[in-house]
Amino acid sequence: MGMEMRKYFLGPMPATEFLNTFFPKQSLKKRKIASFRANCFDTVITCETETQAYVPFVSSSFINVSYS
Amino acid sequence: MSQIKAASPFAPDFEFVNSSTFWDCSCQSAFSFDIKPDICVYTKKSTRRGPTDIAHAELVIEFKWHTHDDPFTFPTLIDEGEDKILSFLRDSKAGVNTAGQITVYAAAQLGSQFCTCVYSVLIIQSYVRLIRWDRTGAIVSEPIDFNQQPHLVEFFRRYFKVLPKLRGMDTTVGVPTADEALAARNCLQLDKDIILAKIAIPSPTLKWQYVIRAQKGEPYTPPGHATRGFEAYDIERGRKVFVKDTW
Repeated sequence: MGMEMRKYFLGPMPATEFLNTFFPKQSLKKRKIASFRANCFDTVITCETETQAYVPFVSSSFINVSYS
Repeated sequence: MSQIKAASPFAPDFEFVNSSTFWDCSCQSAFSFDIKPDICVYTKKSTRRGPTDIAHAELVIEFKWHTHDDPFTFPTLIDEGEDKILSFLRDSKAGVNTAGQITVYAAAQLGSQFCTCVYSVLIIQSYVRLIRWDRTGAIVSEPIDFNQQPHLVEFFRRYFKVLPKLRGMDTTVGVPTADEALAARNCLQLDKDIILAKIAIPSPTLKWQYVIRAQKGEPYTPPGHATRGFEAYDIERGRKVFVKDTW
Protein backbone atom coordinates (compact mmCIF):
# COMPACT_ATOMS: atom_id res chain seq x y z
CA MET A 1 0.00 0.00 0.00
CA GLY A 2 2.93 2.33 0.71
CA MET A 3 4.19 2.07 -2.87
CA GLU A 4 0.69 2.39 -4.27
CA MET A 5 0.04 5.56 -2.27
CA ARG A 6 3.29 7.32 -3.10
CA LYS A 7 1.99 9.14 -6.17
CA TYR A 8 -0.90 10.58 -4.16
CA PHE A 9 1.16 12.31 -1.46
CA LEU A 10 1.36 16.06 -1.88
CA GLY A 11 3.68 18.34 0.08
CA PRO A 12 5.43 19.43 2.10
CA MET A 13 2.92 22.13 2.98
CA PRO A 14 4.06 24.89 5.35
CA ALA A 15 2.56 24.20 8.79
CA THR A 16 0.84 27.57 9.18
CA GLU A 17 -0.69 27.27 5.73
CA PHE A 18 -1.90 23.75 6.59
CA LEU A 19 -3.69 25.04 9.70
CA ASN A 20 -5.12 28.14 8.08
CA THR A 21 -6.34 26.20 5.03
CA PHE A 22 -8.10 23.34 6.80
CA PHE A 23 -8.94 24.98 10.12
CA PRO A 24 -9.36 28.69 9.35
CA LYS A 25 -9.44 30.96 12.39
CA GLN A 26 -12.91 32.32 11.57
CA SER A 27 -14.35 28.79 11.81
CA LEU A 28 -13.26 28.26 15.41
CA LYS A 29 -15.71 28.28 18.28
CA LYS A 30 -14.73 30.66 21.05
CA ARG A 31 -13.57 28.47 23.93
CA LYS A 32 -10.77 28.79 26.40
CA ILE A 33 -8.23 26.09 25.71
CA ALA A 34 -4.63 25.73 26.80
CA SER A 35 -2.08 27.10 24.41
CA PHE A 36 1.46 26.12 23.55
CA ARG A 37 4.53 26.78 25.66
CA ALA A 38 7.98 25.87 24.36
CA ASN A 39 9.55 22.68 25.75
CA CYS A 40 6.20 21.24 26.88
CA PHE A 41 7.09 17.99 25.13
CA ASP A 42 10.52 17.62 26.77
CA THR A 43 9.50 14.35 28.40
CA VAL A 44 8.50 12.96 25.02
CA ILE A 45 11.48 13.77 22.86
CA THR A 46 13.96 12.66 25.52
CA CYS A 47 12.56 9.12 25.61
CA GLU A 48 15.08 6.52 24.52
CA THR A 49 12.59 4.42 22.58
CA GLU A 50 9.41 4.99 20.69
CA THR A 51 7.29 2.87 23.01
CA GLN A 52 8.34 4.90 26.04
CA ALA A 53 7.01 8.06 24.42
CA TYR A 54 3.31 7.20 24.21
CA VAL A 55 2.35 7.93 27.79
CA PRO A 56 4.27 11.19 28.31
CA PHE A 57 3.12 12.50 24.94
CA VAL A 58 -0.11 14.03 26.07
CA SER A 59 0.46 14.32 29.79
CA SER A 60 3.55 16.45 29.15
CA SER A 61 1.40 19.15 27.67
CA PHE A 62 -0.12 19.76 31.09
CA ILE A 63 3.11 21.41 32.12
CA ASN A 64 3.33 25.19 31.81
CA VAL A 65 0.22 25.77 29.79
CA SER A 66 -1.72 28.97 29.60
CA TYR A 67 -5.32 29.45 28.54
CA SER A 68 -6.47 31.68 25.72
CA MET B 1 -1.62 1.49 30.89
CA SER B 2 -4.03 2.01 28.05
CA GLN B 3 -5.50 5.33 29.12
CA ILE B 4 -3.04 8.09 28.47
CA LYS B 5 -5.13 10.92 29.83
CA ALA B 6 -8.82 11.64 29.88
CA ALA B 7 -8.22 14.72 27.78
CA SER B 8 -5.51 17.19 27.00
CA PRO B 9 -5.86 20.83 27.98
CA PHE B 10 -5.82 21.85 24.35
CA ALA B 11 -8.54 19.40 23.31
CA PRO B 12 -10.63 18.97 26.46
CA ASP B 13 -13.48 17.00 24.93
CA PHE B 14 -11.16 14.38 23.52
CA GLU B 15 -9.43 11.46 25.15
CA PHE B 16 -6.01 10.24 24.04
CA VAL B 17 -5.67 6.48 24.41
CA ASN B 18 -2.52 4.39 24.27
CA SER B 19 -3.75 1.85 21.75
CA SER B 20 -0.32 0.53 20.80
CA THR B 21 -0.86 -2.98 22.14
CA PHE B 22 -4.47 -3.46 21.12
CA TRP B 23 -5.84 -4.77 17.84
CA ASP B 24 -8.75 -2.99 16.22
CA CYS B 25 -11.94 -4.23 17.86
CA SER B 26 -14.40 -2.24 15.76
CA CYS B 27 -15.48 -5.29 13.71
CA GLN B 28 -15.57 -2.78 10.86
CA SER B 29 -12.27 -3.38 9.12
CA ALA B 30 -11.48 -6.10 6.61
CA PHE B 31 -7.70 -5.84 6.43
CA SER B 32 -5.15 -8.60 6.50
CA PHE B 33 -2.78 -6.07 8.07
CA ASP B 34 -2.69 -5.21 11.75
CA ILE B 35 -4.71 -2.13 12.67
CA LYS B 36 -2.89 -1.08 15.82
CA PRO B 37 -2.05 2.65 15.91
CA ASP B 38 0.11 3.92 18.76
CA ILE B 39 -2.44 6.47 19.98
CA CYS B 40 -6.09 6.84 19.07
CA VAL B 41 -7.99 10.02 19.87
CA TYR B 42 -11.72 9.78 20.55
CA THR B 43 -14.42 12.21 21.56
CA LYS B 44 -15.45 11.71 25.17
CA LYS B 45 -18.95 10.87 23.96
CA SER B 46 -17.63 8.15 21.69
CA THR B 47 -19.11 4.66 21.96
CA ARG B 48 -15.77 3.03 21.17
CA ARG B 49 -15.61 -0.70 21.80
CA GLY B 50 -12.03 -0.73 23.12
CA PRO B 51 -8.67 1.11 23.09
CA THR B 52 -8.36 0.61 19.33
CA ASP B 53 -11.63 1.16 17.51
CA ILE B 54 -10.81 2.52 14.10
CA ALA B 55 -14.47 3.10 13.27
CA HIS B 56 -14.75 5.62 16.12
CA ALA B 57 -11.24 7.12 16.15
CA GLU B 58 -11.12 10.83 15.40
CA LEU B 59 -7.35 10.97 15.04
CA VAL B 60 -4.63 8.40 14.74
CA ILE B 61 -1.15 9.21 16.02
CA GLU B 62 1.79 7.08 14.94
CA PHE B 63 5.27 7.29 16.44
CA LYS B 64 8.61 6.47 14.83
CA TRP B 65 11.95 7.05 16.45
CA HIS B 66 14.33 7.15 13.48
CA THR B 67 14.51 9.64 10.64
CA HIS B 68 14.83 6.85 8.07
CA ASP B 69 11.33 5.71 9.04
CA ASP B 70 9.91 9.03 7.83
CA PRO B 71 8.27 8.42 4.42
CA PHE B 72 9.07 12.01 3.52
CA THR B 73 12.20 14.11 3.31
CA PHE B 74 13.42 17.47 2.02
CA PRO B 75 12.27 18.09 -1.55
CA THR B 76 15.01 17.08 -3.96
CA LEU B 77 15.30 16.88 -7.72
CA ILE B 78 15.11 13.32 -8.95
CA ASP B 79 15.66 11.79 -12.41
CA GLU B 80 17.68 13.51 -15.07
CA GLY B 81 17.34 15.86 -18.02
CA GLU B 82 13.84 17.00 -18.91
CA ASP B 83 12.31 14.35 -16.62
CA LYS B 84 13.58 16.07 -13.49
CA ILE B 85 10.92 16.46 -10.84
CA LEU B 86 10.96 17.75 -7.29
CA SER B 87 10.06 14.94 -4.89
CA PHE B 88 9.74 14.88 -1.10
CA LEU B 89 9.30 11.09 -0.88
CA ARG B 90 12.04 9.19 0.91
CA ASP B 91 13.29 6.35 -1.23
CA SER B 92 13.90 3.74 1.45
CA LYS B 93 12.25 0.49 2.48
CA ALA B 94 11.61 1.78 6.01
CA GLY B 95 10.00 4.96 4.64
CA VAL B 96 7.77 3.02 2.26
CA ASN B 97 6.77 0.69 5.09
CA THR B 98 5.73 3.64 7.26
CA ALA B 99 3.82 5.12 4.33
CA GLY B 100 2.01 1.80 3.99
CA GLN B 101 1.24 1.64 7.69
CA ILE B 102 -0.26 5.12 7.94
CA THR B 103 -2.14 4.56 4.67
CA VAL B 104 -3.74 1.41 6.09
CA TYR B 105 -4.93 3.32 9.14
CA ALA B 106 -6.35 6.16 7.04
CA ALA B 107 -8.03 3.72 4.64
CA ALA B 108 -9.58 1.86 7.58
CA GLN B 109 -10.91 5.11 9.02
CA LEU B 110 -12.25 6.45 5.73
CA GLY B 111 -13.78 3.09 4.91
CA SER B 112 -15.44 2.37 8.23
CA GLN B 113 -16.64 5.90 8.98
CA PHE B 114 -18.85 8.31 7.11
CA CYS B 115 -16.51 11.22 6.50
CA THR B 116 -15.06 13.30 3.72
CA CYS B 117 -11.56 13.41 5.14
CA VAL B 118 -9.50 12.28 8.11
CA TYR B 119 -6.37 13.67 9.73
CA SER B 120 -3.42 11.80 11.13
CA VAL B 121 -0.30 12.76 13.05
CA LEU B 122 3.08 11.18 12.35
CA ILE B 123 5.71 11.81 15.02
CA ILE B 124 9.35 11.13 14.17
CA GLN B 125 10.90 11.59 17.62
CA SER B 126 11.43 15.36 17.76
CA TYR B 127 9.37 16.47 14.81
CA VAL B 128 5.88 15.84 13.55
CA ARG B 129 4.04 15.84 10.25
CA LEU B 130 0.32 16.56 10.00
CA ILE B 131 -1.49 14.70 7.24
CA ARG B 132 -4.91 15.25 5.72
CA TRP B 133 -6.39 12.29 3.82
CA ASP B 134 -9.31 12.38 1.45
CA ARG B 135 -10.42 10.60 -1.70
CA THR B 136 -8.02 12.56 -3.90
CA GLY B 137 -4.85 11.84 -1.92
CA ALA B 138 -3.00 13.04 1.15
CA ILE B 139 -1.57 16.46 1.95
CA VAL B 140 1.49 16.33 4.17
CA SER B 141 2.86 19.21 6.21
CA GLU B 142 6.49 20.16 6.47
CA PRO B 143 8.29 18.74 9.51
CA ILE B 144 7.38 20.63 12.69
CA ASP B 145 9.63 20.81 15.75
CA PHE B 146 6.68 20.26 18.07
CA ASN B 147 8.62 20.99 21.25
CA GLN B 148 9.64 24.45 20.06
CA GLN B 149 6.94 25.40 17.56
CA PRO B 150 3.23 25.75 18.37
CA HIS B 151 1.74 24.06 15.29
CA LEU B 152 0.99 20.62 16.75
CA VAL B 153 -0.70 22.05 19.82
CA GLU B 154 -2.45 24.58 17.61
CA PHE B 155 -3.65 21.71 15.40
CA PHE B 156 -5.23 19.98 18.41
CA ARG B 157 -6.72 23.24 19.65
CA ARG B 158 -8.27 24.03 16.27
CA TYR B 159 -9.38 20.44 15.69
CA PHE B 160 -11.27 20.64 18.95
CA LYS B 161 -12.68 24.09 18.27
CA VAL B 162 -14.15 23.55 14.80
CA LEU B 163 -17.54 22.04 14.07
CA PRO B 164 -17.49 18.28 13.35
CA LYS B 165 -18.35 18.94 9.71
CA LEU B 166 -15.05 20.77 9.20
CA ARG B 167 -13.21 17.82 10.69
CA GLY B 168 -14.71 15.80 7.84
CA MET B 169 -17.58 14.19 9.69
CA ASP B 170 -20.76 13.48 7.76
CA THR B 171 -23.33 14.88 10.16
CA THR B 172 -26.26 13.27 8.33
CA VAL B 173 -25.23 9.88 9.72
CA GLY B 174 -26.18 8.76 13.22
CA VAL B 175 -27.45 5.88 15.31
CA PRO B 176 -30.98 4.47 14.84
CA THR B 177 -33.41 4.42 17.76
CA ALA B 178 -34.12 1.06 19.41
CA ASP B 179 -37.41 0.77 17.53
CA GLU B 180 -35.82 1.65 14.20
CA ALA B 181 -33.01 -0.83 14.81
CA LEU B 182 -35.44 -3.61 15.68
CA ALA B 183 -37.54 -2.96 12.59
CA ALA B 184 -34.43 -2.83 10.40
CA ARG B 185 -33.05 -6.08 11.80
CA ASN B 186 -36.35 -7.83 11.14
CA CYS B 187 -36.69 -6.42 7.65
CA LEU B 188 -33.06 -6.99 6.59
CA GLN B 189 -32.74 -10.23 8.58
CA LEU B 190 -29.70 -8.99 10.48
CA ASP B 191 -28.26 -10.56 13.58
CA LYS B 192 -28.38 -8.50 16.79
CA ASP B 193 -24.56 -8.25 16.77
CA ILE B 194 -24.49 -6.42 13.44
CA ILE B 195 -23.65 -2.73 13.86
CA LEU B 196 -26.22 -0.39 12.35
CA ALA B 197 -26.17 3.22 11.23
CA LYS B 198 -28.90 5.65 10.27
CA ILE B 199 -28.41 7.88 7.26
CA ALA B 200 -30.55 10.85 6.35
CA ILE B 201 -30.90 12.19 2.83
CA PRO B 202 -32.39 15.66 3.01
CA SER B 203 -34.50 17.07 0.20
CA PRO B 204 -36.20 20.48 -0.03
CA THR B 205 -39.50 19.08 1.25
CA LEU B 206 -38.72 16.05 3.40
CA LYS B 207 -35.92 13.97 4.85
CA TRP B 208 -35.51 10.36 3.78
CA GLN B 209 -34.04 8.18 6.49
CA TYR B 210 -32.60 4.72 6.17
CA VAL B 211 -31.05 2.18 8.51
CA ILE B 212 -28.07 0.35 7.07
CA ARG B 213 -25.51 -2.16 8.17
CA ALA B 214 -22.39 -0.17 9.13
CA GLN B 215 -19.77 -0.55 6.43
CA LYS B 216 -16.32 -2.06 6.74
CA GLY B 217 -13.04 -0.45 5.75
CA GLU B 218 -11.58 -2.36 2.82
CA PRO B 219 -7.88 -2.69 1.95
CA TYR B 220 -7.80 -0.12 -0.83
CA THR B 221 -5.74 3.05 -0.90
CA PRO B 222 -7.95 6.09 -0.16
CA PRO B 223 -7.89 7.78 -3.61
CA GLY B 224 -10.91 6.88 -5.72
CA HIS B 225 -14.65 7.41 -5.97
CA ALA B 226 -15.40 5.21 -2.96
CA THR B 227 -18.92 4.51 -4.15
CA ARG B 228 -20.77 2.30 -1.70
CA GLY B 229 -24.04 0.44 -2.01
CA PHE B 230 -26.21 -0.58 0.90
CA GLU B 231 -29.14 -2.86 1.48
CA ALA B 232 -31.18 -0.49 3.61
CA TYR B 233 -34.34 -0.29 5.67
CA ASP B 234 -36.50 2.66 4.60
CA ILE B 235 -37.92 4.03 7.86
CA GLU B 236 -40.72 6.02 6.22
CA ARG B 237 -42.00 3.25 4.00
CA GLY B 238 -41.03 0.33 6.25
CA ARG B 239 -39.37 -1.76 3.57
CA LYS B 240 -36.09 -2.89 2.12
CA VAL B 241 -34.44 -0.67 -0.49
CA PHE B 242 -31.03 -0.17 -2.10
CA VAL B 243 -29.11 3.00 -1.26
CA LYS B 244 -26.10 4.22 -3.19
CA ASP B 245 -23.60 6.48 -1.49
CA THR B 246 -21.40 8.40 -3.86
CA TRP B 247 -19.87 11.83 -4.38
